[in-house]
Amino acid sequence: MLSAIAVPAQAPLRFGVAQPPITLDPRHATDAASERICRLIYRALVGFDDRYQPVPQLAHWERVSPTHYRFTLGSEGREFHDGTRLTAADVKSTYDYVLDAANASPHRGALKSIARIESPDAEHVDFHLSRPDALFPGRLTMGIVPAWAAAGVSLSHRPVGSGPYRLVDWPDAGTLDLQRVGDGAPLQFVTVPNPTVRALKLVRGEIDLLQGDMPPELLGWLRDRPGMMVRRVPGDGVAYLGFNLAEGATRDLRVRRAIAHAIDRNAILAYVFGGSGRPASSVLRPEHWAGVAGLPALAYDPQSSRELLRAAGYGERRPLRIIYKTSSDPFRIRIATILQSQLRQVGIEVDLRSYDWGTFYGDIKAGRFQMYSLSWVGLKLPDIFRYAFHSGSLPPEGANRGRYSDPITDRLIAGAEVAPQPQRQAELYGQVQRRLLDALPIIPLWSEDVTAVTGARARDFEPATDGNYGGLVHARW
Amino acid sequence: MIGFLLTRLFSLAAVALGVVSLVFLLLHLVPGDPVEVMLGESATPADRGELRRSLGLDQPIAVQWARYLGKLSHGQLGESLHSREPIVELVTGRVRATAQLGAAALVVSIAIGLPLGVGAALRDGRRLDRAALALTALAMSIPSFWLGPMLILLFSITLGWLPVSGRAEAGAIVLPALTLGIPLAAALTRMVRASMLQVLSEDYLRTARAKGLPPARVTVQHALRNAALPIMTVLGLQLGGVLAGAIITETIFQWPGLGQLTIESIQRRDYPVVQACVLIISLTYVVVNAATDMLCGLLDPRVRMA
Repeated sequence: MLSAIAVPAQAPLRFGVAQPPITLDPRHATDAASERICRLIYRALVGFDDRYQPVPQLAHWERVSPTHYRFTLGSEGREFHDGTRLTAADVKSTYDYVLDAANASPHRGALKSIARIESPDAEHVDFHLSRPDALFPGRLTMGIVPAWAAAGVSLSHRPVGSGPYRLVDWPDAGTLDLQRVGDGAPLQFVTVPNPTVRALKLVRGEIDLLQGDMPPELLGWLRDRPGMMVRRVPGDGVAYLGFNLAEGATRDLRVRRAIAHAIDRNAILAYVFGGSGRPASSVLRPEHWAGVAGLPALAYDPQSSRELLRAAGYGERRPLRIIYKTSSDPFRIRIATILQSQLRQVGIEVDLRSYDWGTFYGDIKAGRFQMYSLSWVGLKLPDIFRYAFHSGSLPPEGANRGRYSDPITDRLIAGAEVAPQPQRQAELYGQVQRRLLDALPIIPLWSEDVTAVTGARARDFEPATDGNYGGLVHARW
Repeated sequence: MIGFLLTRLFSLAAVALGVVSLVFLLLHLVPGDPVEVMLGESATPADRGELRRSLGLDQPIAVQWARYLGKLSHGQLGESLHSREPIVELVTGRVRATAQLGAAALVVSIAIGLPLGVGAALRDGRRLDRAALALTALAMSIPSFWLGPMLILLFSITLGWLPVSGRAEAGAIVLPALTLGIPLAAALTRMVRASMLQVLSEDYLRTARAKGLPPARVTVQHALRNAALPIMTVLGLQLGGVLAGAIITETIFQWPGLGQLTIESIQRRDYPVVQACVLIISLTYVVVNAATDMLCGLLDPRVRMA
């Protein structure tokens, strides 16, 4: 009798996101939404722990020599969603595809140190590098796809991975249906670009959960609604002010210091971000294995700021004028306007110019700026220091946009890259960060918290510091 | 008549070619490198050069334009830079959704604008007329990015009658159609009122009334019919407005149409998709206007002579 009663299907957990994923093929995914959902569908060789140290996911590894890493596949996550077994051939095929220039994978640049890949049997993969790379295991975080997908098969809308979720349906850009492999629990991503509408849908119960991309005032409004639960964790993104060190007033360290001391970060974090953030002194979090706890804060000190400006030859008769470029994002313009006001208090006249992203970013890469604001997000490896601050990384070779050139910094970065022990690497990267804080090629401003808001149905969801959706692996609904 | 239609079709083709070329050129002038979008900032200059060559982006712009026109003439819009999907597949469902929303908005516009405009003209200078003028001025001034959330607050949150957004639930089209249709209804109301006022003072209407025809018949059959030409022109122009306005409305209401795809593609710097979306919106506008033009010519011989 009981068996004749139809059991109602479990309603999906509806996760409201600002942007839909573009592709579910990890070999081509670069946008945040695609990468986060790919992490649910696929498993990578390597993951990261809380301190961003690489840890085994599909495989553990040994460094056979500075240019040879051997990965041995473990027992977890070895079954693709189509029922086939994940083997070393799939790993080799995935990375061979990325390294083939004809496939135009955006991940090829980060893996350019790989000379060749071998899979001697079904359980082992050997990566041979063209040069020593102490950070190499941390670069293998891309999801592994079946070998049959190498032959020009797009997994963009038909992903087959071995991760904790499998694709059920992707009927249009607005909704994406997944299912948890372990217990069959359904999950639906619902794209709602407008943050106000997203908050209203959560209140009305049309979605059950949202994370990030929410203005602080809306978070405050949601917090006061019955049944809403707001969870926060410190984020790993860092907002910063960048300077042109090749020409103009910002070449002068005293000017950059004056600007740093004129900014009241704590007031901005308290009144604009509603307390959901913390001041930053480096592009890496202090909790990062290569980060530095206790770096001196860039104190708000308008008096010192005025004195530095005077020493640099600026004053009432000859005020310092700075052109400050930012994007056309309304929230970023709002922040820029506050910074403009704070700098005016010490006598710096800021000409604020906002541009559409293409123009803005093009200007930054070409060095057409005096001062700009941007953020580094999702930083996992300390090779950001070579990429953004080494004198050999001027665009287009890297992202040293301010044209910072310091032989000591270069030497420290090069030393850290070949140091065999992580402790020594961390020590050298720590010295790099202290050096950067002294030279101020950029002013680290703050790290915004990652915030998730859940309605009554979603339980045990914890946001991650990098905004990934890993909390869905153990969430209940 | 055939000459008139051929002239219109020829000018339609010329305008379409102009639009296609302009969209192509403007998007190539906009800052941003599609190759960098595809490969990311960490790609080597050699890889970028290789991909640029394989995509034909190293060719002079005139060559790229000629190739683009050649592909377009075969119905090929290219591939998305991000998802690598054919753009035709990407836009097909989106066009359908936008057309659905546009049709609903036009229904709202006509359902409100036509009776209100006629009523205001018949009560010229009285309370209804003054109220209609005030309301339409207000409706035309309200931006859709404010009207949409306000309608959601009232009908979804406070009253709980309609879903906040999306396309799946029943009644989901009502709020976006109202958001898009209300400003159009305001413009239509004013146009109908002005046209009707002009017609209502004509001698033939006085004759019709003197003959003892019922007022409703005089209004609908004689006055409204003769006021229809400018109203049709406005409706044709409004369809273009619907497509342009849908970009914001679709974003607010998570309506998976062409407008939302345009915004998403602009944010992702997916230039071929942006190009295709702008092209479809522009060509629809051009085709609808040409169709309106021809329809007016069919209805009124004086238009053909002009």
